[in-house]
Amino acid sequence: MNFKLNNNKDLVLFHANMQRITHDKSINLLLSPQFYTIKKESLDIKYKRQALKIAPAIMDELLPHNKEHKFSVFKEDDKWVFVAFDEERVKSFAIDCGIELDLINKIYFAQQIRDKFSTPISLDDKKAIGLLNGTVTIIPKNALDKAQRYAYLDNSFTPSSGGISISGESSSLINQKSSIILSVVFVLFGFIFIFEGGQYSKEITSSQDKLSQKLKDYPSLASKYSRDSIEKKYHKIDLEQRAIRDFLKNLSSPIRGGAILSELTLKGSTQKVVLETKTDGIYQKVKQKAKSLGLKIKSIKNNTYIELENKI
Amino acid sequence: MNINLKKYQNEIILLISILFMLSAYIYKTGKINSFETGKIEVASSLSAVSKISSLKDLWGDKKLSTKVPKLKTIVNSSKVKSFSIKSKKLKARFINLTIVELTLLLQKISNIAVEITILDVKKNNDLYNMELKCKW
Repeated sequence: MNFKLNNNKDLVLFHANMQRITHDKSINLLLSPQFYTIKKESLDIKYKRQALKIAPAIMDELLPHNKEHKFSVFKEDDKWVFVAFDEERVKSFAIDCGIELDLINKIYFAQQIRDKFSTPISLDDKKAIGLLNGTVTIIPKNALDKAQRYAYLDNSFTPSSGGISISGESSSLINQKSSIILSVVFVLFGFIFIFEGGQYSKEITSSQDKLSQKLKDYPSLASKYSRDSIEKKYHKIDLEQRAIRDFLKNLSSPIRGGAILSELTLKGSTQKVVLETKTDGIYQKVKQKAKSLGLKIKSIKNNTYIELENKI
Repeated sequence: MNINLKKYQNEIILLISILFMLSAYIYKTGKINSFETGKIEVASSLSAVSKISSLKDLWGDKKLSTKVPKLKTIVNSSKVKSFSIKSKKLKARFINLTIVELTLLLQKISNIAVEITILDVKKNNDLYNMELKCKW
């Protein structure tokens, strides 16, 4: 997939004597040795990542200390090839050559495809790029046979892997480092939010399970409609029956106080009692008690009887 | 399209991460809202179910069918004029009850969770006649 994608983009041989070019599509650059420094080492290292880590130390003595370099590594036979290049120099020269930095897809090194240079490629009247002792080198043409035939670079030269991306920071509003840091923070927050959302989701399921468990014991209460209707029915019964029992309980006090039960009617939401009060003192006591209970009071036969009524 | 993507790759990465965070935030907010709503619904349903079940247990006690017939034995059988139970409904008539017997009967009726539909007590000389209708 990557190979095809890269092959779809034009490969430009990037060398010090190249002509100014114009392009409106993304391109790959193949750097000539003029823009990089290489060192081959036989090291007991298995992974590219490890090799890349030690690249600055390996190449330290070969590079000028006043410039920053970017490193790349790749395997060549049983050796690791360490490559260092000055990204700023490449960018600056690319701009001079009319190359838009934003349209540089990948940067490759000529050494990555050394076998392709077994037939040199002409760079200009005086120089060519070719393979010398296993290393891709700039060769003066007068050092070559006059009958030397030259190859032409095309997209098939594009290495299948190992390209380096350069950032098009010049036109970006935010640099790559900041964008990565911020993105990581936002993504982290995103995951925290998802986790928290998941916890709330779990809580919902747990309380719904609790309800379902409870409803298993009372299947008739599963629907809200039937719950409301049953609740209404029992609530009415509870209210009325508790009031009846309270009314009966409250009767004991006046009866103990000397009043005589004459009539008692409990029907639906109405409770009514008629008490015989032989003395005015008894009458007043009953009346006072009834008042404190909020009962409706009615005097009968000149205070000799008292009717107490409670309605729910 | 390719040109723009490459040119604004940093901004695009940032934008995607912001969108991801916002979507996650919306997801979380949605869950909080449904949690709050669900919590209230579940709590009210649970409370309703508990309330109904306790009311049902009280006013629909299955042991009432064995407790109610015992009302007949509280007073002397000569004072039980009629006592009939049909499909969880009692119709009873007691006569010539003393105030002590009446009080005892009323206490017993109060203590069992039957639904008293009619309770009518009338004094006749010094004794009482009582009519009781209840169901459960």
